[in-house]
Amino acid sequence: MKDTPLANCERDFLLKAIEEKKRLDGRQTYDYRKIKITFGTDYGCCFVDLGRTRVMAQVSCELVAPKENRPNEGIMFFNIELSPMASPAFEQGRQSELSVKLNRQLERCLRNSKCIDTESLCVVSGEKVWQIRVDVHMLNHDGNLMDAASIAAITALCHFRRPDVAIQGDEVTVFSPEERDPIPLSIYHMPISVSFSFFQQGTYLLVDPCEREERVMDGLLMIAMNKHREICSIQSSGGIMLLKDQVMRCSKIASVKVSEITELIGKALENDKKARKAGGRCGFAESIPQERITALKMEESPVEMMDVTERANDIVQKAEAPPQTVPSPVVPVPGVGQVGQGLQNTWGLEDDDEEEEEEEENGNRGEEQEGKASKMEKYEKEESRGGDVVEISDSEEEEVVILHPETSDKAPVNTGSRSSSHQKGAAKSKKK
Amino acid sequence: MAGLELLSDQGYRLDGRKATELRKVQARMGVFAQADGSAYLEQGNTKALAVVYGPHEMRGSRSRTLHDRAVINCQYSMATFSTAERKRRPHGDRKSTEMSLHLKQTFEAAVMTQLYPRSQIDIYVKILQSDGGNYSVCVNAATLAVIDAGIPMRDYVCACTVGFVDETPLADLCYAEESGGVSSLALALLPRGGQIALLQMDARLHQDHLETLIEAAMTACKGVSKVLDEVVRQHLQEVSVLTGE
Amino acid sequence: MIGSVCVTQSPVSPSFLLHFRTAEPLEYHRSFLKENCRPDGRELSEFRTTTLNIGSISTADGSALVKVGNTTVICGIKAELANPTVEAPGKGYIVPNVDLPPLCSSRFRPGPPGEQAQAASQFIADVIESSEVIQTEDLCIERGKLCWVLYCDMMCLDYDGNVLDACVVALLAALKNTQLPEVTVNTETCTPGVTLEKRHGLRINKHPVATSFCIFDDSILIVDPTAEEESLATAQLTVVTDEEDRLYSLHKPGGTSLSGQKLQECISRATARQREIQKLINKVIHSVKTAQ
Repeated sequence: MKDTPLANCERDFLLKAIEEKKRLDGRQTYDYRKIKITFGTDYGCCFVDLGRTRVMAQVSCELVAPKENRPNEGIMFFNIELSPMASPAFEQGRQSELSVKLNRQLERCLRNSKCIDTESLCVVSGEKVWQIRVDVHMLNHDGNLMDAASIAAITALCHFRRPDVAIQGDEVTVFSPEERDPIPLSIYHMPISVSFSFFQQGTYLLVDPCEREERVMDGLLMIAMNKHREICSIQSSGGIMLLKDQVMRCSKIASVKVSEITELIGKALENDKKARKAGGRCGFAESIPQERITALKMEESPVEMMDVTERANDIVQKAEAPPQTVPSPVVPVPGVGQVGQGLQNTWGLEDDDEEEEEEEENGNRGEEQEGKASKMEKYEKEESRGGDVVEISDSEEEEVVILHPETSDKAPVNTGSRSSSHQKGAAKSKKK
Repeated sequence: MAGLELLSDQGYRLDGRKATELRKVQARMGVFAQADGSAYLEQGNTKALAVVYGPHEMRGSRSRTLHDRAVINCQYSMATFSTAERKRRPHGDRKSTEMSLHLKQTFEAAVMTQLYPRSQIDIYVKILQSDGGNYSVCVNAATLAVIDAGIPMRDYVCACTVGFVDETPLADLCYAEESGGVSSLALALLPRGGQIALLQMDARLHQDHLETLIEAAMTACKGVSKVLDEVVRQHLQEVSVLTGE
Repeated sequence: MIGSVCVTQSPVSPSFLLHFRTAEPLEYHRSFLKENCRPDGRELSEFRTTTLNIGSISTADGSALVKVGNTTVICGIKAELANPTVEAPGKGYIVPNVDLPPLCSSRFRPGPPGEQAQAASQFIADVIESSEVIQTEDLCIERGKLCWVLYCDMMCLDYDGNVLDACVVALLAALKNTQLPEVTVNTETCTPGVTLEKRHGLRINKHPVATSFCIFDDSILIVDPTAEEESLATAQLTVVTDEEDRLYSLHKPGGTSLSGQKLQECISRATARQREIQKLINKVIHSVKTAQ
């Protein structure tokens, strides 16, 4: 499915708001959205919520033959899936540009920085090594997929435990989790990516763009760092021109953010460890009844309320008083009342001819007044008048036939003209 | 440690260069008759060929036409015999697609696309022999090809890959240095305004060293831009002599 | 450049000729053919200037760059070790591949190889097989266990007609330039040991050379067509011969018919061309050897 294009007025609004240093959800320029990290039942399964962006990462392992040119190192494989669940713009199966970009960035961020000790994954040199596979699935796309994916991937890797292995001569025995405790991976450092979006040719900068902001941005700068202030990867994309000072400033901001996020990940891992030790059920299935994962509660978003009461009072006082006089409805025929503006009746019915002239007069009178107020009055009056008649006041139906033995020939006409007056009223208000 | 081999005590690298020395750059423009613009560039042992077709009418999906700008379409591929091990899949694999995207992004920033609405500019780059710094050589070759095609650009786009060993930045890495686990930074620069069109870095580098590395990359790019400028002027001289004034 | 040997009856301005060429290409070419010459000044049986450059790609085991007029083809040969096929345990094999990328001409789109590229690859494979340019037994290292595979990748960089000729010349020159390292098989561990320093060249038995012709209006035969001439021709023909005047391949994919006599003319022209090309290749290889 093609993505709905962004309207020009929405784009202008967003850009103007950014110029005034205001963001859609009330954040400051350098603020991240609320990050929530939860774990699944298995080791190595992790959910990350970045505001409304939701991402799941799963780590699995397998014994395979190593690569020929690296016989004593394990293999790391990363895969990001942009499932159509996340956004209607993602198509199943097709490798779009965004998917290639995200995959390559995650690979560079985690693999080239050597955050995992691959040599410890070797079982028998040249024959059997562990292949660690990280699958990241996008569940909801609300901007900044890269950051969420990197947090999810590194947390899942920290959480993961691989089975224990014993080598006796040529034989390799893999122990199941019941026989021996699985061992965690040896991770040197935790690289986390921080995304900066640029607007108006690099004049304005925002951290952690949401989906709307991503649509209007000029370009993106992704910096991956770990808490030791080492930069693991930098990637600029989107055709923006950067200056060296901007890059330096971004890297300083990134180091602050990364240390915050690393602390958060550490805490989440600790909590999970405690929960598992306490023997309680933990993980995905457990959190469903407590509505921890499945409910998408709207967070309270702060709205600027500073001088609202004064402004409201001001406006109310300055406003014009509602009109005192109301146009009185015309009753050409018993059971029919009309008030308000309307166009010429184009039906050409003889009964309506007299009404037409009166309508026009009414129309002239009513033009200076609020159409709506008078319409409401008309409905009320008609209700009181035609007690037997069932009112379908807002219907646009042409002919509503109401069976009354005496007024059989009149009823269709009445409702017809009534509906025509509705239509005229609607048409006139549209014209306005 | 790999660092010891890459930079000796006297400050010489594996191929005898100094830390800030670039490899020898040789380039020729207008090498092919079929294309609107073409260039062949050699930087040390890395040889790249760039060909530009356009601006012409949109081919393929008409729906991608932009009403106010030209669409730039880049394709990066390596010849199967360009690397030491034969490359099984020259196009379509993730690395080539990523490189094509980066090239497209770089040139979208530099080429004045507003002058050609509803049209398409194709830039094809092929690596004939690869010895490190693939991306930078491609960008330099493509710049020359775009100039040869007569498409207006804001400035030369020069690129260079720099690495960081033993607290010293090394300019213009070769393959042995790149694969030795050195942190490398690729930078595409528009020299006159000092604007960075693309910045890409892998491997660990402490934040404090970032500034020196970017500085070194910018100086190297400015050096490359001087060479490219000379090549363009020389080519123009030759062409004007041929067409006769 | 329209400066040509032929003299037309009435003097015309160069811009008129250019418009005429775009609007009525067939008539334009016919007017030249009537005078027995071609728009670029060649005779009907004359070849464009052929340039050869070998050994320029150092990552390949053998390489050659050929320019026939504007058509440029580069051939790179990579040798790898592999297990021989079950049907032929004592032979190695050669895998040719012709690539016509979109950068050589705007008529080719990016994507999988088109039919022209695939047909050219098959043609080259047939030429290699029928001419036995290399004895595949030479590529065998250990019977049934280890052999050489030669991947020959020909890439067209500039397409101006007559790609087949250029590919064959490039392939031949690259094969002559290929140096394979010595391989010894360690009988105890059955692993091959490759010494990269000692290299020996391949033994080339035959020197097949292709010559392409185009037929205009069922009767006029021209040699070495440019891209424009190829698109206007009614039939095409390629003849592959070697130095002992043997005929390896005659490739005529449809088109208008040709009389036997004309065919004989083609074959004799092809043999003359073969001698020319062989001399060129030998000279270039010799110059490289003496330079080393």
